[in-house]
Amino acid sequence: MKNLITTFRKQSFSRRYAPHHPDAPLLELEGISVRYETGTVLDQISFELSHGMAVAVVGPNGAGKTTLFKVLAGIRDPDQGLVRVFGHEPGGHTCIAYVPQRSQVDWSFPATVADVVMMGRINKMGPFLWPQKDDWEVVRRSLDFVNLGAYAQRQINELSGGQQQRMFIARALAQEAELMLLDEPLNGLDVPAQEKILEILDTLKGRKVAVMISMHDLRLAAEKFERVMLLNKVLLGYGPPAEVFTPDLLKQAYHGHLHFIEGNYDTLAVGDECCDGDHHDYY
Amino acid sequence: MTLWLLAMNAVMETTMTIIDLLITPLNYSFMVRGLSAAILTGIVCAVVGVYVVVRGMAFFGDALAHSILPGVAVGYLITGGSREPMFWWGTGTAVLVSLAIGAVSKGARIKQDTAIGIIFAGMFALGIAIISTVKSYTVDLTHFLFGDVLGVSGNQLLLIGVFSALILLLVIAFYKEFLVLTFDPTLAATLRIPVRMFEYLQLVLIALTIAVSFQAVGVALMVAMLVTPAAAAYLLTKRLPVMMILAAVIASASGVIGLYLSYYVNVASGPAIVLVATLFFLLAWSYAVIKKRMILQA
Repeated sequence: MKNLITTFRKQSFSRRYAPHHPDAPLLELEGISVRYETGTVLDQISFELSHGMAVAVVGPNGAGKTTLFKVLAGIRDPDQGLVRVFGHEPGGHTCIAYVPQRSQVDWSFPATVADVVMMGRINKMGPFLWPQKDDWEVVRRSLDFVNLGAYAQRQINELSGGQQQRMFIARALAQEAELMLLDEPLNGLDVPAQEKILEILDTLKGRKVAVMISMHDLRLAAEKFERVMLLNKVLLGYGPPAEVFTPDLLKQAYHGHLHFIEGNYDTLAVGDECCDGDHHDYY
Repeated sequence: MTLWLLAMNAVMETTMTIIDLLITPLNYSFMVRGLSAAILTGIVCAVVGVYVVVRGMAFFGDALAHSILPGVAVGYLITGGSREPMFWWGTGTAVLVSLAIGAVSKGARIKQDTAIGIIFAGMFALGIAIISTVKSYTVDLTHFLFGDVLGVSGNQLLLIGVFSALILLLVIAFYKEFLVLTFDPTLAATLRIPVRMFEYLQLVLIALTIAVSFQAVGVALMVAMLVTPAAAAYLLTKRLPVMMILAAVIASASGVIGLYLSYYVNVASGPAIVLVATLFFLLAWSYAVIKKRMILQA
């Protein structure tokens, strides 16, 4: 009886969200511009993204990466242009997960790892309902997927940086996200921790989850992603790394802050900007 | 054998004395009402205070408590000191000021704590100015500032009960929305939860809590009831719901112990309750420090 009531409440009261148009691409942008008082942050951005694609978004600090993600997540309206997620405006979707930078989270908050992952599901529970058994089951599976099953009952500040980032990926899974936007998840992590996260993101392809990840390491982006995006207010390039990371385009993106060293086999691009986890994007 | 009987007798007598000490005050109906009010307001303050602590809104809570003084003072003047109208005036003012602070801190160029400071001091001064027009104002002002839980009337207790139940119901009903909003407002936005609405609702809940508890500890000590039990509970647990329950237990225990202390040691009830709560916090803090040491050593 109790189950029946729960099911009834979940189905009849949960909010209706924007539907997914079957023929529409996951993501479609047409001439997106965003301006702040300090100036233009994004200028005429247009691109498309389909299911299960992974894109590394690269650009200097202040290039508008975070702003772009916020527009895609539907939490900031563009001043100009059109965004379509499965054929509808992003603001009506709950299938987009925004994974925040670790520095923007209060890690002393009294919550366990499982509690935080559960947060991704709260709009699926219906009003006034607390998490049910099946919700906790989803949480458990999501944590197992990112290899954090053993940490479910830990307080969140007991996790290492890489584990914290994986917890947020689990939360996005619990949210049943079809597009994950990860804002500089590799910042401040050591190489093994970075590798683990990239591995997990790779397995997401099998789940048809699309991933956009902003990062600073050009070499890593070229190595691990079939598709990269070079951004600095305007969209300078979008496609395979070999086509996008050309000295010409990179110079346009990084201006004087990038130097090229000719090696025996290859050209090495060296940036003199420091990526210390500080946040320089405009809000 | 006789020795054993004597010992038993002594134990029995001590127990009886303690029970006697606990029961005697309950012969006074004002004491019963006071205890009920202290427990109710303790629970509500503690539960809502958990949000105040984890969001770092202690200054907001303190300011809001002080800002209800003009409302209370107007109610007091109009009715010549009757208590229930003061409750409604206090409630109205608290809700209005909380929404005003919410609105001001959103758009203005002034920093939030500055804005709160301006509203807080201005309203507090207005309240004292209004009360000072009455001749016998010092006695009443003391009650407003430091509470008079033993002066709670039957009707007032009923109001406190109804509003406490309402506040707790809202906290339970929107538990998950408030949780996400408090921890990660961006997630709340991507899950399409009406963030603005819940932010204001949280402010209104704090305002109602202050209006309900105003009589117990007064405006000057209110922030202690919001913050101290919740902070003590924060040191003892790693989960929000547990923190709420622990805080409620600590707060109601402080209320009861404080009132008995006030009865027997003859100190003012509001400060007694706050002092007991502070003691609980110190205990929790020592526990946390010792626990940390032991973990570091192990």
